[in-house]
Amino acid sequence: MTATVKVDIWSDVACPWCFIGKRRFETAADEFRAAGGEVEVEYHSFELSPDTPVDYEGSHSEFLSKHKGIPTEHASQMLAQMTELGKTVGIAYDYDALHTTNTVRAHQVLHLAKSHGKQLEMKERLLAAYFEEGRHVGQIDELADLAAEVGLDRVEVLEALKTDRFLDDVMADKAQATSYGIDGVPFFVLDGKFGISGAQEPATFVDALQQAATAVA
Amino acid sequence: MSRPLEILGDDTAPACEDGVCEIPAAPVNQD
Repeated sequence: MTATVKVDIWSDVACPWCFIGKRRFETAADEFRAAGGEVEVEYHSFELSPDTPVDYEGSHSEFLSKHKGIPTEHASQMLAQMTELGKTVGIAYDYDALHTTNTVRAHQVLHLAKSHGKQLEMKERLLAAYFEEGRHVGQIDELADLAAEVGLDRVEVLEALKTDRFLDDVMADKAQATSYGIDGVPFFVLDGKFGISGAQEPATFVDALQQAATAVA
Repeated sequence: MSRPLEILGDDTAPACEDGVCEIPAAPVNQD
């Protein structure tokens, strides 16, 4: 097998299932490559909660409680549950340290990173920063620091964020998601033909990659 | 409008939607 499968992934930074789904997909992609296949990945923007302020005041349990209409204690139990699920794929969710924020700027950084061939590194850096390290991924200076860590020019990042240079790209991704009928993330589109929703098990991703690789154009 | 996608996989796989993520209520990795 030598086919290259293009995988477009709609995802948000503030999305725990996107992080777990990323890990599971990577496991599948490694298996697919080991069998001779090739995978090309591109991330696209999806804002789960675009109305969230940059500086949300309150804990993530309180945020979840308000969104789901459930008691804060119940929300805390759910986050503890997600923390345990994260451990199964090597993710150390730290909801006590997490800064709930708006992610539109983080998405703009991902587009800037893509223009420099660094999108995959930036995506991983942002997810880890947000979920595991308590970094504030809504603030411009913090985003510039994180971008510099993956080799991007800090000054360029600051300029791009202050002028919303990549905002149109974020909106275009969201429009494409709507066109596909995507209403939840992570969502994976293979070769523009096949769609897979959610944090599937690696074996499911492998099957899908094989099906895409052998599909008649 | 993009051409319709052929949906693959388990349609009950967990995802996040409208700011809310499906999180199982029961503990995982139970004895």
